[in-house]
Amino acid sequence: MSDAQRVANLDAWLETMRGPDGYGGPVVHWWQNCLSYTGAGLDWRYEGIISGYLTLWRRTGQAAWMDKARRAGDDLLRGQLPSGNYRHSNFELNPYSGGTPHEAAADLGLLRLASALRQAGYNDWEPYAQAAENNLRRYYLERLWDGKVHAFRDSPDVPSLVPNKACTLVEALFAWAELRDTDEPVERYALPTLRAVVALQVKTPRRLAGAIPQNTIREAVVDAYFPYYIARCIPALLQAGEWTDDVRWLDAATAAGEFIVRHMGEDGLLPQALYGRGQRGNLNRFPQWIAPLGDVLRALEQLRPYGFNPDASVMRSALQAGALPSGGFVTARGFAAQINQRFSPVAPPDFRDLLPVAGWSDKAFAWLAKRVPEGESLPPPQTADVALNCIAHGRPAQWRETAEEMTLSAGGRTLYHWRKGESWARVVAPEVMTR
Amino acid sequence: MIDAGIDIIRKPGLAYQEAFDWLAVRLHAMDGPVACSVAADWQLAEMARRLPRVPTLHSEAAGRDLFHALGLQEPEISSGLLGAIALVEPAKLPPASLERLKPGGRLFVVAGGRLARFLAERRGRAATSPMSERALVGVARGIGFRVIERLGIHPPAAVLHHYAGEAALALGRRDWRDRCHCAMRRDFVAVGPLVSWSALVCLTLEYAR
Repeated sequence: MSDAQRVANLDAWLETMRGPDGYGGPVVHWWQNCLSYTGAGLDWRYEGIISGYLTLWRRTGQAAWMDKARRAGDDLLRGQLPSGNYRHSNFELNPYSGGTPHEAAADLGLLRLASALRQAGYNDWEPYAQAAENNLRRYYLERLWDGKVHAFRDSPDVPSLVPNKACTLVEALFAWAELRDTDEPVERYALPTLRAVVALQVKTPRRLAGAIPQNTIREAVVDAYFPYYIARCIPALLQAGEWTDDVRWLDAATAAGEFIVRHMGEDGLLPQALYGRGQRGNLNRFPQWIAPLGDVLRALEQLRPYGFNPDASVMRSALQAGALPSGGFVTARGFAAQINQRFSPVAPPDFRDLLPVAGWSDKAFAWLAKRVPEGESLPPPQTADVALNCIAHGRPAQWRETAEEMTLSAGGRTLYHWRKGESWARVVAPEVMTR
Repeated sequence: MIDAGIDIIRKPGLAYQEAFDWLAVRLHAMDGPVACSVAADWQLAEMARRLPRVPTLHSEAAGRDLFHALGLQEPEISSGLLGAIALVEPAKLPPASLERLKPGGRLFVVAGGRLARFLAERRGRAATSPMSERALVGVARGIGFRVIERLGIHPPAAVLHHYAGEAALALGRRDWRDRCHCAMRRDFVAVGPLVSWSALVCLTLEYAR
C-alpha cells in the first residue's frame, strides 16, 4: 500500500470519527484512558489534523483539503469557552478543559491555518488567529506563566515544568510571533522557557545522554524519560536555533535525536519510558507507540538539514504497518504488558493496542501527508470493517470496528460499545472501566 | 475562575471522575427524558460538562453562571414522567423527584462507600451528610425500588496498589511505581463483595411499582 493510499484511508477514517462538535472517539494512553467519553476532544488531535490537511492542500492544490482544515478550525472556534479555554481539551482526561499541551497544540493548528489562509489570499483568517491568541493570552500567559522561574507551569497552583508540553506551547508562540510579525512571544516567553527545558537535559550517563526528563514538580526533577515526548521537544529547539542563530539550541535538539535513535529497537519501536540516572537504569518498555511514531519521524526529519541523518527506515516501516483496514492506525504494541512488562509476541494483542485513536492517528496522518507526491491527487479510499481477536483484561475477546461503531465483546458479552458520532459510549463494562 | 466559584479547569479526584462518567454512560443509553439531582456546584459542573442537555431537578448549586462559564445553555425541565433520574450523594431520597419516575424507570445513584471519608472532596464538607449506600438502599427498597447493578469505585485493591507504588518510589523504583499506578487503574472498579468497601458505590435501581 502506498503512503498516499494510507493517507486517503486515514482521511476516510477521520470522517467516521466526526460528531456534531468535531473529532471524537475513545482514548487509550499510558497514564489514563478515556473510553466512556467519546465526544469531540478539542485537544492535540487538532494540531495533527489541521497540519495534515494543510499539507495535503499544499501538495495537491485541491481546495477540498483546505475546506477540511478550515472545518477543523471551526470546531475549535465553536468550542472556545468564555475563559478562552477549549471545551473537552484534556484528551485522556476528558471531558475537561485546560488540557496541556492540548490547548497549545490546538492553538498551533489554528495559527498554522490562519497563516496558510492569509498567504493564500483568503480574507477570513483573522478569527482563527484571534481564537488562538485568546487562549494563549488568557490561559497560558495569564495563568500558567511563572514569572519567578521564567517558564510555563503545567498547573496554575503547582510550580511545575513539563518540557514536552512547554515545547508544544513554544511552537505555538513562534507561530504567533510569525503571524503577527512581533518578537515578544518569543523573546519574553518562548526562549526563557526553552532555557529552562535545556537546563534539564541529561549529559551523563551515556544511556540517558540527550534525554529530557518528563517533568519537574516544585523544582524536583522526576527522573522518567519518555522517548516519544522527548521527540516532541525537538521542533521547538530547532525553531529557537533558527531564531537566534545560536548552535546550542541545535546541539540540544541533536542530542535529543541521538538519544531517541540510540533506544530505537530493531523493530523500529521505542521503549515507553526509561528511569533513573544510574548506569543500569530501569525501563518500562510497554506499551510501545505505533501511530504516535509520526511525531518521532517528523522530529527526526526536521533534524536532517542540520546534519543529523540516522536510518529511521525500520521506524517508518513500523508506522506504515500500523494501518488498519478501517483506515485508522493501531495505537501501540504491548498494552497487555503494561503492568508486568512481560510481552508475549505470540499472544493476541490487547484491545487497547488495536483501538485507533483520533489523537494518536493524527500523528500518523500529519507525517504521512508529507509523503504524498507533489501535484498528485490522493487515490480513492479503500477501507473495510475490522474484526480482530484480542484480549481484554487478560481474557480472549474480539474487537470490531465499522464506519458506524466500535465494539469489544468477550464470551457473548458486550464489554464496550460506541456508536460513532455519539458523545458517550453505550456500554462500558466494569472490566474496561479503567480511567 | 467563574462567578459560581468553580474553576472550569479543575477536576475532582479520579473516583468522582469515574463515577460521573458511569452516570453519563447510563443516562446517555436511556431512551426518553432523564434528569439529575446534585448537591453541590462542582457536582453540577461535572454533570453539565458531561450531559449539558440533562436538566437538574434539585440542586442548591448556582446554575446559570456555571452554565455560562462552560459555554452552555441551562436546559429546561420538562413536565411529564422521566425514564431515569441520577442522584449524586443524596442526603435523602427526594420524594417529589422520585414521583416523576415512570414505572420501570431507573434511578442511578452515586453514594459513599466505606472508604468515602478518605476522598478529598468529602473533607471539609458542610453539615449535610450524604446517605450511606446501606441507608439509601434500605429506603429505596421501602418505596418500591430494587437494586439491579452495584459497582464500587476505588476499592481496597486500588488503594493497595497506590500504597505499593508509594513504597516503590521510596525505594527509588519509579518504574515499579508507574506499574503500580497502572495496576491501580486496572482494579479501579469492583464488583462483588468488596463494593461496600470502596470509596464510592454506583447503584442502578429499578422502580418496580
